[in-house]
Amino acid sequence: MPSVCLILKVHEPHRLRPYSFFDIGEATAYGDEVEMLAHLEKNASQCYLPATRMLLKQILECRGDFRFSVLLSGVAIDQFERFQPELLDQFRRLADTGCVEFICEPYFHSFAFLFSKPEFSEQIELHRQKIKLLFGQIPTSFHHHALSYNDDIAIEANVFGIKVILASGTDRILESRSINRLYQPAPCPVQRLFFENPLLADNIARFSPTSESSKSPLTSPQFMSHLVQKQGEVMTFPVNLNVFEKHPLGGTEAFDFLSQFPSALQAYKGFKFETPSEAVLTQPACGSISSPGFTTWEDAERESNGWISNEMQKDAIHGLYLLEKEVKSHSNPNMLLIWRQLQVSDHFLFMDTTAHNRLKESASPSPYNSPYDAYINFMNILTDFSERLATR
Amino acid sequence: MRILMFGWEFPPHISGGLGTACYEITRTLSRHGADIVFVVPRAEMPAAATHVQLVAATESTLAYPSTSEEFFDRLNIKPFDSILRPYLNDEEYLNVLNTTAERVAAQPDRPSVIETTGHYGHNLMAEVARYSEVGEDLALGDDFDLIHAHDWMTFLAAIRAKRATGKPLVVHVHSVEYDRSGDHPNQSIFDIEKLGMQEADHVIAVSHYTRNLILDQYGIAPDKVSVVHNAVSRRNIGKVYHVSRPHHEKVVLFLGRITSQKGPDFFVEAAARVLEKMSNVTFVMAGSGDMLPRLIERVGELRLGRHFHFTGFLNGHDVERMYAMSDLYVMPSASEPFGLSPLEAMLYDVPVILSKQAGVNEVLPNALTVNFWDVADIANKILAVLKYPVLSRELLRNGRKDLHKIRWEVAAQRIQRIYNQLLV
Repeated sequence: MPSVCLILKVHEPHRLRPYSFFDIGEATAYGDEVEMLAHLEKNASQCYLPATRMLLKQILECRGDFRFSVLLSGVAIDQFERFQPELLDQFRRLADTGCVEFICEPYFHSFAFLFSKPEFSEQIELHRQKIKLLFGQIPTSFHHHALSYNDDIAIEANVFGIKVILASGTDRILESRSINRLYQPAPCPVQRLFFENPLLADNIARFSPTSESSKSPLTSPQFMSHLVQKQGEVMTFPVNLNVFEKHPLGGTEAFDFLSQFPSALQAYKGFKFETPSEAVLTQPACGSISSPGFTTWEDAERESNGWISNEMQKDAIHGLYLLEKEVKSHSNPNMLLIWRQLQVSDHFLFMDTTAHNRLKESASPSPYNSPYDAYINFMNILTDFSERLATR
Repeated sequence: MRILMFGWEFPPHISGGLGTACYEITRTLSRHGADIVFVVPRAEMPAAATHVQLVAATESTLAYPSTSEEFFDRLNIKPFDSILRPYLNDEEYLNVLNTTAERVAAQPDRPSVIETTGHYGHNLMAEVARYSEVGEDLALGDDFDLIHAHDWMTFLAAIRAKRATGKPLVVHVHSVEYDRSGDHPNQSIFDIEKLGMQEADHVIAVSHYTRNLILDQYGIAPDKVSVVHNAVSRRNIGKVYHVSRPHHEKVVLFLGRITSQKGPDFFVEAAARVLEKMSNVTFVMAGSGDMLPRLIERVGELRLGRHFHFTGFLNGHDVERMYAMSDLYVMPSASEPFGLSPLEAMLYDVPVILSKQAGVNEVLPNALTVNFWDVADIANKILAVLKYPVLSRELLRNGRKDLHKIRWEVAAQRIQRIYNQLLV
C-alpha cells in the first residue's frame, strides 16, 4: 500500500534592521524586532493559526488516518516564543495527537554544513533538544537546507541517530530511478533517502495570483485522482505551510485545498498517509545511492543555487564563518547567538541578483530595495560585529 | 519615408543629452531607410568653448565621428539662424543675447534656412515664436510624410507645420518644465508643452517617469503616450583611457549641470558625511551652472576644500578621462526624465548611484538607488562602494549585461513602429 508523506515546512526569516555605515561602532542591535513582530502577526492570523486549527480538526476527524510531518525552523521557534507563544501551543496540540512527526534541521536554518562541521553538529543538537523539550519527540528524520544532499550529510547525520534524510530528486542522482521509492545512502545503509516529489508544491504554486503557469490549479480530489495513477511506494511532498494562507481579500483556494486533502486521499483505499519514520518500517528500500557531490547545487539545470552563487553572497558568508573561532573563544552566549542569527540563509538569499524580482512576490519577500542593498546592510553589520569581537 | 524633424545640436557642438539623443535617433532611423529633413537652431559662434560657458549647458560631451559618415547623405540639415539652445531659461537667454548674439549678428552671411524679419527675439518667448515661422515655411516648401519635434522650444514650429500641411505630428518629450523648474514652473513654457502634446498625434516620453508626469500634469490621454527609452552607444568610447587610478585615493564624481534639478547640493552634503568616516576620497564636481558659486562657498564653509575639485564645464575627451579616473559616479537628481550620463559612466566601468527620481533606473535594474534628499543614505552607499570592493564588481558585472540591452537600434525600432501606426 503506497504511502503519502506530507511535510509542512515553517520558517520565518531573522530580519535585520536598516543598518547604515554610520551605525558601525554606534549601534549594537541588529535584529528588527518591529518588522519580525509585524510579519509574524500577519502570518499567524492569515495562515499559521487557521491552518493548524484546521489540521488538528482533520486529524481528529480522520481518527489517526491523517498523519504528516512538520519542519519547524529554530529561527521560527524563537520568534514564536517571543511574539506568539500560542502558536507553539498549537503545534504542541498537533504533537499530542501522535499523528505528527517533527523533523530536524540545523537550528538557524543555515549553511553551517558547508563551512564548519562542528557548528553544523552543534546546530543539529540544538534543534533536537528544542524539539524534545517542546514536543516530547526525539527527531529521527533530517532535512538539510533546500533539500541539498551528499554522502557526507548522511555520515554526519548518522551520529545523531537520524534514520531518514529528505533530498531533492534531481536526474543526476536518481538517473532513471523513481522519486517515489526509498533508497539507502551508500555510506549509511541503515538510513533511508526520501526524494521530493514536486507535484504538490507545483500545484499549490498555481494558486498564487502571481503564478506564471498556464495551467490552473487542481482541487484536492483532482490532484489525488491524478496521483493514484503514479507508480511507486512513497510519495514525499515537502511544502511551505505559509502558502496555505487565508487571504483577507478572500483568496482561500489554497487553504481549501489543504483542508480537503485528507478526505480526498481516503477516497482511494490503496493509499495511506504516513510520516517518514513510519514509512521506513512499511516500505522497502530499492537499492543504494551514492552522491559525493551535492544534489541540488551542482545540477546543471539550475543557473544558481540562489543562496551562495554570486560574489556578494560568497564574500558575506565567508566573512561570517571566518569569525567562528573568535566568537567561540569568547564564550559569550550573546555574541554566539548574534553570530548564529547572522547565519540564517535568508540574509544571503536576499542578495541573489537573479531571483530578486521573483522574491518580491514570494511568501517572504525581500525587505530590501535591491540585492545590493541587502549586501550593504549585512556587511555594515558584519563590520560592526567584527569590531566588537576585536575589542573584547 | 520622409520626416521633417525639429531637433537640437549636431556635431561638433553637442552640449547635452538632448543633442546626443537627436543625433543617435536620426542616425539610426536614417540607417533604416528614413529620409530626414533636420531643422536645427544654430548661430555660428566665435568659439565653441565660449558659448558653452555662457549657456552653462554642461552635460557630457563625448566624442563624435566626423560629419563625413555615410548617413549624412540621407540627412538634410537645415540650420536656422537662432541663438536657441537646449536648457535655456529666460535669464540665460538674455545673457546669450547680450554677449554673443549681437556679435554674431554683425557677421555677414549667417546660415539660415529662411530669412526672417528683424533680429533675434528680445526674450526667450519671442525667439521661440520667431523660430516657429520656420515650421510653416519649410512645411509648405517641401514634401514629407510626418513631423517629429524634440522638446518644447520646437513645438510651436512643429504645430505650425502640422496645421499648414495636415501631416501627423509626433512630439518627443525629453524633459518637462516640472523637471527643470520644480515647484516654480514657467507658465508660458508649461502652456507650450501642453499645446504641443495636445496637438500631437502621438507623444513619445523618454521614460515611464516622464510619461506619468505627462499624464498627471498635462492631462494627455494615456493611449497617445508611448515610452521610448534613450540608449547608449559603445561607439561613444572614442579612446580607451588607461588612467591609472591611484589606490590610496578614491574619486567620486558628479557630472552635470550644477543646477537644482541635478541635486549637486545633496552631493556636497553627502560628501561631508563620507569624509567623517574616510579621508582618502576626492569628490569631483564637473560642470557649471547657477548653483556653482554657492556650492563652492559651502565646501569652504565645511572646510573640505582639499577634498573637492571643481573642474568647470568639461567636453569631449576630458569627460572621458574624467569617467576613466573615477571610482564611483553619483547622480542625485531631484528630477531626471532619463539621464544618459550614468550609462556613459558604466561604459567606463564606473559603478553608479542613481536618484530614484531618474527615468534611467527603468533600464538599469542593477544600480544602487537613493532618494535624492536622503543625504545619509547617499553617504552610506558611497562608503559601501568604496569600502566593499565586491559590491563594485558585482554592480558592474550585472550592469554590463543591462547595458547590452540598451541600444539605439531598439529605440529607433520603437519610433519607427509609432511612425508606421500613424501612417496607416
